[in-house]
Amino acid sequence: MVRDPFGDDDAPELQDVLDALDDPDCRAIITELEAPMTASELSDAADVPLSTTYRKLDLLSEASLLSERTEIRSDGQHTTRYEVAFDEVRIALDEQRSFDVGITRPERSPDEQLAAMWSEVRKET
Amino acid sequence: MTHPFVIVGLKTATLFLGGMITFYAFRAYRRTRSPALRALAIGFGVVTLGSLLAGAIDQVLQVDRELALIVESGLTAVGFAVILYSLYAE
Repeated sequence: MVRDPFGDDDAPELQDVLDALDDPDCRAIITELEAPMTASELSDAADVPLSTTYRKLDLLSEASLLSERTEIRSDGQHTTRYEVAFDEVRIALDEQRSFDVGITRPERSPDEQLAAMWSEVRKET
Repeated sequence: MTHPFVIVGLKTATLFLGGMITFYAFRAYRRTRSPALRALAIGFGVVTLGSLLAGAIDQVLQVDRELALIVESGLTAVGFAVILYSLYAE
């Protein structure tokens, strides 16, 4: 469930965001995620069993609070690292007095932007 | 004096390759609607167009070589500026 790096416009469902943030394990995972980490590293750091960690990571990805990056190692194996994909989550009432969730994303540096753009272009080939 | 076929051949290759990159970048933009990818496609498109125009001016119009060089260099500079901009666009 890789989040589209350019899909920032389609905001996640409010319920998904609330579900993820309501969960103490999810919050522990976010707190530990200072730098991109793998699921097993996170499991150790946040002291959550690995199978539970995977479930929580799905929950967080669904809410678009985390993003995944896949690295291909020289031996051909894939490693997936997770990183926090938000600076701020804002929940407010809109004009129709329904709940509106807004997520502020961290700025991407030019080299990260180039890598993200190029991976999108490569999907077309 | 270089044989004209060498230049025509290299220009054709440039047009084809530049056109392919532009085409894929444009398709990626169409799929994602990302302004950054739009700028990337435009940037590559402008550089490729510069090559096309310079070749056309040189081969068809048979005017001063310098004009072709100026057009090509100018559009290359503009195209690279747009590509650089794409890295900072949203």
